[in-house]
Amino acid sequence: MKRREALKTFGAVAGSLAGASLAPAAPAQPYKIALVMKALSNPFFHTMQVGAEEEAQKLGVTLLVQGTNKETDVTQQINIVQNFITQRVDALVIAPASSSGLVPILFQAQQQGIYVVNIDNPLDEPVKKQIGLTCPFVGSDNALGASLAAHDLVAAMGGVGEVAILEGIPGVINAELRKQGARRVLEAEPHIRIVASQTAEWETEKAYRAFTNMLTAHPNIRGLFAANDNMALGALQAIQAAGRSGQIAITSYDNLQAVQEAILEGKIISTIEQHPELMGAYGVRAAKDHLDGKAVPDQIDTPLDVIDYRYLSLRKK
Amino acid sequence: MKNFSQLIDSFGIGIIFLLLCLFFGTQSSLFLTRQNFSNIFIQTSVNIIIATGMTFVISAAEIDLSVGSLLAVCGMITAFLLQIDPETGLNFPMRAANAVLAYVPDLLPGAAAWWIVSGGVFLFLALLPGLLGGGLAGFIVVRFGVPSFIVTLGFMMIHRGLARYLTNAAPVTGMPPAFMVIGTGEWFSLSGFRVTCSAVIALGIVLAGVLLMAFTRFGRHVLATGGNPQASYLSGVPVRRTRFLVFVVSGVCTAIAAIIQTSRLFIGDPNAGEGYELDAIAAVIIGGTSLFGGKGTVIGTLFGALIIGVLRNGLDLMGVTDHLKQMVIGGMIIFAVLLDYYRRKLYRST
Repeated sequence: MKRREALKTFGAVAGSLAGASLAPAAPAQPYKIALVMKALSNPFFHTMQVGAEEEAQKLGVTLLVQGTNKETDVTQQINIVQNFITQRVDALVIAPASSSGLVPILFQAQQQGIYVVNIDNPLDEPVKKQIGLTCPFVGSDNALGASLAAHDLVAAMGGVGEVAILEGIPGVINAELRKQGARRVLEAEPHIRIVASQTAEWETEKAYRAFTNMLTAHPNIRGLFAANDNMALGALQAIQAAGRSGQIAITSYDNLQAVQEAILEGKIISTIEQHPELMGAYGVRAAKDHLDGKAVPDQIDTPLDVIDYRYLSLRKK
Repeated sequence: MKNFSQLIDSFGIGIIFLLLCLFFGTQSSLFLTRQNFSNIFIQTSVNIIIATGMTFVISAAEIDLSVGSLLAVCGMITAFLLQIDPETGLNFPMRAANAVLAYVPDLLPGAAAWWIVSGGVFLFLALLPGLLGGGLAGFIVVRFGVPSFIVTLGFMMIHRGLARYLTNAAPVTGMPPAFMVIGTGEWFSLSGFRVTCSAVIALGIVLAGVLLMAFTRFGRHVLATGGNPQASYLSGVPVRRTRFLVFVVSGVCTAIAAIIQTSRLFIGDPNAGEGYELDAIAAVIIGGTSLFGGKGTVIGTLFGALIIGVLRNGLDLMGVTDHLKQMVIGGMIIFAVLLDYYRRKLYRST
């Protein structure tokens, strides 16, 4: 891979010296790196794309971006990866829609000499091992983030009362980790009781329905941890519709614009920023490093921030 | 004018397919490669198989909206069947084959007996949910006279709920890696063109569909029932049985597609197949089968599915975003129906 860099420098120098006469002698080819994401309709992935694009421009690599329509469309994502294999990209940076379903096609990519970097949602380790895929993971510690959010929730409730959890899609690893991280903190509290824990599949509308029913079944709920912001927004609507505004503390995950506004209005306690732009950027950089012949660690952590009223009000000024 | 209309009628869809291929060929140097055509077949095979079954349903002037969800149920059951018990290292069909061959050692001659028995057990149990799912929908449509749109809309939700209920929506893992061969594996290589298992299965189903539609009594009954059920009934066509059977055909095709889908994902995915019913209906309509029944062509459906597959693949290679892709495919469906309308007008004027 060093050779390619040398050629590039040679190409640039030769080009500037001799102009068009030397043009056929290997023009500089930047690395082609593909970024494959999930639902492009989710602002989270748009931020990720922007971060990756800026990094790609800085590093001088070509970035090709594709994503699916729905979070759960595993087949479409597999087809996208397959088409990138055909385009002979040098590396694939992927936020997988399924922790195990993407492993076979990514293994196929690896066998064709394409370097794979896993970002955002970690692939399933046992399946990776079974099939033989090796790739680094770039992302944050989802269990830690959820623990931080749950901790804020306990504090807001004064350490007493019934709480509910809205979970992500079961079987998706980051959803499982967030649930575990939140439960660990909530279960350790002697006066906090988890009375309901259900999936709303990351979706606002499903969270609205689920939380409406939770409020009916458990009228004493005083706190909610929503595993992402879309679901927190749905729950907020449910609380308003039930005439319970201001009575239920919510913490959530992802730091969407709409949730920042809700925090400033005092409707939501806090959310977790997991820096999707850094996942995109670090993912592209890890790919470039590997292609340049540098070693890439198995795990690259992206930072987590707790975003609450204090943070937002001081920042806004 | 008559010659022109006949030309469109028999080759129209093929011509559109060729023009599309040529267009994408000029847009991306990778499109017209053998590797890419192997990919298109892998990416399209599930839809080809479901749409072949759907051709019979639509030709009989019925509709089946439940296929996408039924695919998820069948896929989950396929994955359960193949799941290896970590203690013994065997899955259910393997254990069944061991038991059967221990009981009747010389049931079949030769060393392949074990594979034939376990494969047979697997195929039977994997296709059974498709058969039952389709049969049940067909039974309700025929026995109680409920419109198939309503019945299959209900089953679309029932099957989706069932697929998620089985594991509380967690994917099923633990299949033997050899199973991946069906979805992506190569059967043989024909001068660089990778003939994959899924493509061979899909084309086999299409061939069976063509024969069934064009050369059997059942096929003629389907078209007669779809064209004019009353006249068919009066002339002795078993209208009710035909209506029932088209749903069975659709269900079994869906179960076959589920095996390929599961192999490709290497998991039983309870969310698999969302929206596939619409892809299949689109392929059938683009292929020239009339939504009002009475006219159906399985070869047309094959090209319909390939056109959708080529559009997705070609636009992908051009780097077009998914939002635009959806708009183009939507436009294609309307264009195909307009073409059909124009074609029929030509017929009437001659």
